[in-house]
Amino acid sequence: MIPYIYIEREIRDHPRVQSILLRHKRATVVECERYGEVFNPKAQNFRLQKQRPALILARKHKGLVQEAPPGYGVGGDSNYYFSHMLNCLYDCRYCFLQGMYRSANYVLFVNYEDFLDAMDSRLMPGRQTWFFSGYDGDSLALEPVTGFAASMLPWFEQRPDAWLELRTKSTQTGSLLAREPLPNIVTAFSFTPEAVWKATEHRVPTVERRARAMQQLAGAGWPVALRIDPLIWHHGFEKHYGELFLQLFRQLPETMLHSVTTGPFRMPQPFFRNMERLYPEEPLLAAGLGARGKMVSYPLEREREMVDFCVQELRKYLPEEKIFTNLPENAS
Amino acid sequence: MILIVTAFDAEARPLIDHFRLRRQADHGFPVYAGGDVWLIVSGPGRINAAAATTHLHARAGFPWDNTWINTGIAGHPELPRGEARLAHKITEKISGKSWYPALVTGSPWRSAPLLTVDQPDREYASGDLVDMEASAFMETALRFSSGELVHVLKIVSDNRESPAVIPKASQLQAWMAPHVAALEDFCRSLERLAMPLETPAGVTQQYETLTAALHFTVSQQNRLQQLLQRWHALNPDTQIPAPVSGQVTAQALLEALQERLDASPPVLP
Repeated sequence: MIPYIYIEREIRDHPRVQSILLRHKRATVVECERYGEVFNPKAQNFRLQKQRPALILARKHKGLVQEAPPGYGVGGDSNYYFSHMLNCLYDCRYCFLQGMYRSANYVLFVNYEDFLDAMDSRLMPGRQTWFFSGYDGDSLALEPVTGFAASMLPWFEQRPDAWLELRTKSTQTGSLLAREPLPNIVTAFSFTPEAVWKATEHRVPTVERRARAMQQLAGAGWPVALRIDPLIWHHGFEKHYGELFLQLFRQLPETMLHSVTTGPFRMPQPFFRNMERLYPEEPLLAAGLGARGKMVSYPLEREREMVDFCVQELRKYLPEEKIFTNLPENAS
Repeated sequence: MILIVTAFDAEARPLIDHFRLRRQADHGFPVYAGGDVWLIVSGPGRINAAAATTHLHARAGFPWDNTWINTGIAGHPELPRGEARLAHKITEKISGKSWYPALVTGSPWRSAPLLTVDQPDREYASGDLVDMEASAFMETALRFSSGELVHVLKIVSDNRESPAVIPKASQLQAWMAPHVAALEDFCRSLERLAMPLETPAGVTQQYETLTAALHFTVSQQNRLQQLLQRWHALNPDTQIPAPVSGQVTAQALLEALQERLDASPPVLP
């Protein structure tokens, strides 16, 4: 249950806001001028707020669609990302959001149409343009509240050169299953091995449940993808990742998969320092990570070993052209 | 630790009795303390509230990330007298600035917006709770603690039907008293919430031992603190091994500890 809903005054009467309020009649509504008044103040603690996050409804004014970082992509001509939400229903201990934001409240930007206009301006005829959703929050986990994916689909149906990746750890696929599949909407499910899930991915559905949701979606004709990202170094790394791939590919034949990407744990130093301060008792953040340039990551050699191991394993199940490693040094 | 700011002595009295607080020998403000609870009586208005909050922070030993409460009476156009509300938005009339206390634990009270004014407001035009201290309390206490732990609880003392007059002390106490036990429960739940923010005792102890034995520069002290936290995350309740702690210079110790931490992957629980 969402206890508090903060709403920017200018969107108080927006139909999407009204619809959300109708479904959350018990929530206390608080008006604000700009969402940053609630979301950005310094004296906030992400860990404490994560106990009981509120929902903030806002309008996004600029920077609606951004270029994807170098090296990020699954074979398209142009790559962009966008965030209709900030923060996530889940509580993954390795997630950079807890280091990037001071607040754990969910921000939902309700002006979806402005996102679509911004995407329209990035399209070029004949060029495959990818839009990655789920950078600042799970794309589908709050779908029953946001109706975001459902409202995007008709636009993509009319634009076959525009591709949408819905990145998720959820099993909220109802809005997709409710209609005919679209070839240019790829639902990408993130996985770590069960041991990592258990220790670090709090509130995330089990590997098994997500694999089943993925199978169901693929069975209905929707393109699906695997995101083995971030790779987490831990005792039993090779055994656990090997078992994860075996489990996933037993349920998901290669023909059902659009792509598989993998990439190591990396994040800007200030985010990592914030995370260490929030969770000083977390073993995952305590071992093997160090500063490399402006980032915190595993040592290069270890990172390569981890990526190489996973790529070798994935090749047992998939052709090379479906495997992508998201490393900035891959950018040409 | 619980730190409470009230404007009037009569507002404080039920809290002083409940927590069994004793008057401290302070000049400037009446300060009361007992166990882990501190209370200060600020006097009315924003300047008094800000000064008293700062005084209490110093008096309690500059605590960091503790529970702060501003409680006392407020006006409201409709709510009956004696009704209590937590503030979910505090707006300062003179500056237009707002604060949004993050309500992350349950409480027995509903919440409401609050307007802090400099002169008593007999019109109740905003429709909000009206007081004369909360904005200054928030602005000051948020320098010392995280927003989830800083709250304002107001008890309605006047409304359109019974407009503001200076209430008798006995009346004030009668409005406050029924909410005191629940206020303690609320504060204790905030304390429990904040427990993970405290540095583990083992880290502090080891840090003190090592910095007493070797000379660490300020940046080395910071690094030591960080590495000891990592060590304890991986090896709870275990001292760092003798070959590490026995190094003869701070730099050698830090390097040896770092090497140990990077040597083996974390065992996930």
